[in-house]
Amino acid sequence: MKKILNKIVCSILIVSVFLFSCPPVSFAASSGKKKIKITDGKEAEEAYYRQDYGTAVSIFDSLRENKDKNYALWNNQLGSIYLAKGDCREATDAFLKAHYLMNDIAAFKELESGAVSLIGAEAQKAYKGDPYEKVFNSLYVALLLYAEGDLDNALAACKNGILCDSDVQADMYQSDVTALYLLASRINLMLGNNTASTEYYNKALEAYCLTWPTNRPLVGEEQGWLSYFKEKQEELKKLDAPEKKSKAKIKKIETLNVEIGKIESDIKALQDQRQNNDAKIDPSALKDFLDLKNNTLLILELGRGPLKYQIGQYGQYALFTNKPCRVKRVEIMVDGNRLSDNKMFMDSDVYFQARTRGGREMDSILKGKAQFKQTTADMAMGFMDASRSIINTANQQAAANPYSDNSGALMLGAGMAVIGLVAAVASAAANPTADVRHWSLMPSEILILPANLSTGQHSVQINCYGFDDQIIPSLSSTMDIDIINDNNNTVFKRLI
Amino acid sequence: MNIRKWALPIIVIACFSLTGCVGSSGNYFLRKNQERLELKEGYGAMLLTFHASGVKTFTPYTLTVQEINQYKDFSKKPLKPITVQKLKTSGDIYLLNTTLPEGTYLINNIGGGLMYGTRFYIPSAKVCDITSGKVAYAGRLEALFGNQKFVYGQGHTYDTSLTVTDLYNEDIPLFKTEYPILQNERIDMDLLY
Repeated sequence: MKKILNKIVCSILIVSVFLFSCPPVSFAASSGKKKIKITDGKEAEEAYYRQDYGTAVSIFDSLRENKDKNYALWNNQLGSIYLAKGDCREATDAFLKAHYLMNDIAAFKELESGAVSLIGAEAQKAYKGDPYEKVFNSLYVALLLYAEGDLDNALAACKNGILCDSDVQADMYQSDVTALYLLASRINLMLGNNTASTEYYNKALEAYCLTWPTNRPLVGEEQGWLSYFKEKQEELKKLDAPEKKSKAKIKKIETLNVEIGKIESDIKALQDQRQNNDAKIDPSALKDFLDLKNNTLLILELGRGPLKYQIGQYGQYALFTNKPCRVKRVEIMVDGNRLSDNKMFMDSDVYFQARTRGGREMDSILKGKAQFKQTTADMAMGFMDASRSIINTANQQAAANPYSDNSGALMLGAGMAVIGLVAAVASAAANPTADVRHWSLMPSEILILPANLSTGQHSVQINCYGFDDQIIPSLSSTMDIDIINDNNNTVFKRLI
Repeated sequence: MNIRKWALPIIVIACFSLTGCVGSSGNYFLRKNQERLELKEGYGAMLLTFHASGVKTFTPYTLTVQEINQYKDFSKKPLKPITVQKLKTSGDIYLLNTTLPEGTYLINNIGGGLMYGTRFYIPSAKVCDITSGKVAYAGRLEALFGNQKFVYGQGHTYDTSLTVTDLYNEDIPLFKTEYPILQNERIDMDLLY
């Protein structure tokens, strides 16, 4: 008996020592140094926002040494840190490493097959970024290669970004990242390809109008109606088959025709509204890009980029949010003189791109619209809503009171979900946790100001104004820049 | 060494450690008549005010938070109810405060009591940032209760919506009056979003 008791006590002690004393060994980076784990990424982010770039670099650099499935993520994070440090050479290197991997379909293929199986988690696959991350990686690569005078490769990066941006559902959402088109237009002009330059400029103008703040909600709505219109047309096509039609069928066709007519007029109204808005947009900020006398691109990175997180009982939904930027406008003084009108290209809103790329916001709009317009009672949706609501409540109860019995509610919720879940999101049911890896050190806004500066040293003062039109001292700063040539200088400044 | 003598206490301690019962701590930050602010290393504090309209007597008790951290596995980011110190002022405004380790948190719901003591959870999707060593104002949370409705399996409930407003100049004096310890304290602004 005594021996058994001794064995039990010893076993418990050994288990306790293992559980509570040993640091986790997974994801340990290079030997000899402090063991860096993937969870240290958060510490690196915090260090970055404290502007302790040394700590941030050392953590992400150690993680990068693993050359694991997150290699592109670590490189993107490092690229942002190096850029904030003012080390463009290292930034180019990091962004390029990420760029190659993010656009390499074959890379980490063996992990992809695991992730799409029923038992694999989404985060099991290699990080290659959402479409918006590919777009901004391409923009950074293009800007940095442009600064190095490698115009051909910079142009290739622009084209790649435009392609990634077009990788979404409907025609209207072909690339709308104006900065990529503008840069491509400028580079073509520098290379003497005037026709291509004009083409890119026209696309830039189109994208600029499409993403203008007053047009954004209209575009989203228009997109939704267009998709719904397509759906209804398909429905009509099926009913309109040449065989003999029953009375009920004829009535249904009539109803559909009326509905389609109404949708068309709704789309037309939105398009008219958009055209009215377009007429009020001043494109002069874009024209400055094509003025080659403007030998310098001042690039300001403002605020914190989109934050991607999981919600739901199993973390099955991935959502984006962002911390609103405190800056309403920016004023730039060079050697004490205010830059002419400060016409700044101000619509590279990363959060908007994140929500509208990768089918997140658009998906919900499309589905929402379809449900909204359905005249018949949609039981599936009703059940889904009720189920979600019950599960949420049960979750909340469990969270607030771990001893409350909510298993009944959860079962009921789950049961209703099964009834309601016709074919939607079937993948989430088997292995639900959504992948929320994202390039979190991105800014929320990228502002680009083309300027004509003489070669030599200049003092640049950046004044950021808040919504109360007062200067925000913590975000305003002065820096010295060195203009080295007559055509392709770039200056990056991160304002956190 | 008499192993039998030590066996029971060791087993008890080990069991407590394994079930996570050891080490749970409160999230209180401000107390009446407190002499100094105590902020644990690596922790920050959040001050916010709460007001409900539509239903007159909703009393907030807890905020259920969940860490947002892409580097951590979802299973290691459980929903965590935190008790918020509350103080009702005139105009049914509640002063809430809490302390958390540095990080970003999703406020999943606000738990509290409706009239006649009925428990109710207001769902939320607001996010807060906690910075180590800092006390920050997170805004005024305004909960709007819509009409009562019946949801199958839940019984009678309410549609609710939450908005956050920056009322720093109005709310911080309320905190400073109720908690004089804050008089000379720097209170940053880091609104929920």
